[in-house]
Amino acid sequence: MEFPELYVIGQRDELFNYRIFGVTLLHGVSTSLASFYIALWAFEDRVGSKVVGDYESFAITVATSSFLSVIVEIVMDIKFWTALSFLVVTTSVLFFCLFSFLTQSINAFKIAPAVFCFPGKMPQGSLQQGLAWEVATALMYPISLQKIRLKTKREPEPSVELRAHIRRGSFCRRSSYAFSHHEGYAGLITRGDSLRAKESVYCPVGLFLKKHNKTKKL
Amino acid sequence: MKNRKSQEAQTLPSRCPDNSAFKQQKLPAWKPKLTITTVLSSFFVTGVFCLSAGVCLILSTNSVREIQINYSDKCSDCSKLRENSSNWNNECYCSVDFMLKEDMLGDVFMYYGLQNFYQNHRRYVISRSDAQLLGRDVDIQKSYCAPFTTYQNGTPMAPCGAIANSIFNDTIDLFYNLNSSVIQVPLLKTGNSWWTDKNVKFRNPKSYNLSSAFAGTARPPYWQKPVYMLDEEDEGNNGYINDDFLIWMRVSAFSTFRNLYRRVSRTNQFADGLPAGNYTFHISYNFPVSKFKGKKHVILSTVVWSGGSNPFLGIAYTVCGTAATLTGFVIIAIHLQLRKKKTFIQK
Repeated sequence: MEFPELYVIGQRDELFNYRIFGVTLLHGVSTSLASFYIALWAFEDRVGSKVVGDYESFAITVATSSFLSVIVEIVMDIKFWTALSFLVVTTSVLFFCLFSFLTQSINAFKIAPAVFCFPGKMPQGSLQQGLAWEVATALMYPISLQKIRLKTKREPEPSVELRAHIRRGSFCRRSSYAFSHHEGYAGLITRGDSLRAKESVYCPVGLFLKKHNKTKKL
Repeated sequence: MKNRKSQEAQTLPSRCPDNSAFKQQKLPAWKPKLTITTVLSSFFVTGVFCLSAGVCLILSTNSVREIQINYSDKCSDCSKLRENSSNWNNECYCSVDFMLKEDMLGDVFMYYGLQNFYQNHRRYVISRSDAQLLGRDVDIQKSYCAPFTTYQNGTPMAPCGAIANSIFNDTIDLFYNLNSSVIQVPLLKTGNSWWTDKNVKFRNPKSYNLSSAFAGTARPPYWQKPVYMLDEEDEGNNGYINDDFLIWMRVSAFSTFRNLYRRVSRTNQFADGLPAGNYTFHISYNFPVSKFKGKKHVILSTVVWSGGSNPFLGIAYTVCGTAATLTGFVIIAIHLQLRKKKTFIQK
């Protein structure tokens, strides 16, 4: 096994455990419920020159708002935007629009009326779709941005600790043969830095100095 | 020995992927930097936009004038008569008086509202034959119209299915009481349905006249007239393309819904809308709702650009706008606190 450190994350279930599963499940359920209920409350008793509280408009609004919430989630999650990421996200949205248009076109209805039963929906439903998904994503937007803000606050701390540990490890593993072939610690001792600096970085040198002082006094 | 080894090394293909940017995962990437300015500006822009949209929606919703009258409770004699289905041929009339306190200016729309009528039932929604409604000669046994497909003697129903069978068949007329005279308010019965329904989704079968086009078919069991007699005055509103039929066939998503019935024609004294005063609905009560504890209403309402009297969207936008602006202020506060902490450590 060449890189045993890589398997530690899997052994400790750090990326997928019961807590993460529960949180993801709750997040998905709440997004779906918000998508449905916001559309429901927006459509109830909808009065207009042509009443739009009908089954097809409602279905299309809920479907579009769920799709757009998923797209917004993906956009929030992508950290490094390559040309491929841009391409994939825009292609998804374009394909959705294209297939909505095709399946709801009048020609498709004439070919197979039992299958394509929503002709001419695009112009009518667009206003309601826009309103519904705007509210849905607006609700998720502050939550996700808060998450990002908290993440940026936590990042600086771990990186400093790790480096200190590695250095300490490499220092302590040096053999006495290596010590004897080194130029020695005269420069360090005369400078006096090691006495004032933190113990975590210069641990073996500090111990060596203490021993040396003791023998000198004797 | 060495030659053989190098030859073997040359014949074996390398398992490394190509040294292209794509395969070595070294594509140029853009990492969005969440600096304080971008985050704050996006929060405040969203907040301001949502707040303004919410306020506009609430203001327009408040300007809608609407009146809703429950007539299935007021016409209790007729609802009791209709509970017994053998009385289907007996007519029953009902009058409901109401008063408009202020004028309803602009276009006034008259709706019938149903409560506790589940047009979104799973089997009800599919109980139709779109091919038959396109005027095509299809075998309706293959559609989902069962059990409303054919009679026992084999005559097919036109139109088939439970949706068409349960069409709303009350007739509602509006009268205005001016001093001592009673004026009938002119109502428009066409132009109420979707363009695609009227011109694409529903087509009458073709023949030299409409009644012969429907020869060999019979009306659905709950109908009083066959489909080619729905509106004998207007050829463009008869048969499958009758506006009331089209509106009913566009099933609602909820159990409490309203369908457009008529529009007030802006002529004579109703040119500006409905003036304030006393009005009467004369209703021919046919649609039975008491058995499933349903209710029927008549609704008169004006219209605004945002739709109507439902305040939910306005409130939702306002709430989101305030939440976004508050979060923006909270982020400013946290940012200022962190800045103070950093300067303290450096000293």
